[in-house]
Amino acid sequence: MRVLKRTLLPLLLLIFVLSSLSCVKRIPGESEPSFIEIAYKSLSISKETYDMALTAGNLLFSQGKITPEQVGETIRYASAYMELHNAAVSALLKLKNSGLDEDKNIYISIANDLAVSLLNLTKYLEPIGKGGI
Amino acid sequence: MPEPTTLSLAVAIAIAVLQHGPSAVIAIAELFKSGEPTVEDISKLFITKKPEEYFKNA
Repeated sequence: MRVLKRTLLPLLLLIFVLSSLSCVKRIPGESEPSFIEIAYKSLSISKETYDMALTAGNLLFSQGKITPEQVGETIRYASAYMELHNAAVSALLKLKNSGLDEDKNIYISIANDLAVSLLNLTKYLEPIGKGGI
Repeated sequence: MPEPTTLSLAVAIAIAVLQHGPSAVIAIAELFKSGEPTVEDISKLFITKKPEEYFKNA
């Protein structure tokens, strides 16, 4: 579990940021990905990160390594994250249907907030994963 | 001999697969899949499981 906290969550965060910035290396000869494709991949990782973080949190709780108060705080951070993630998915759907720059900017704004929220969630969980209670 | 960063990535992916099984495989596959996603693909990205549902025994 400590390996998961130390290695996987920061790695997923890094992949999320890199794919958001379109820095994920492409296969030679392959066409450049569209904005929607990049956003889609970022949100796929975002959803998986949410699931992994909370699954890990529940495991720590069942092992007695975190308190009910810490569970409450984790739920608070995760709820904010879930709300932003779903808002980003809605914004991406709207952009997919409209193709308008205005909708693209709305998506970017929400995605930036989502990245900060992810950072908050992983920052909160990391010390818990290392030391428990 | 793989570079240390490549090795770390491989180990991290292996841990993800071991810990989370198919969902991790799907997430990694999505990352490397190319092509424009459909509306249906994007709709599947909504998170429907609330945080408190992960801690039913809390």
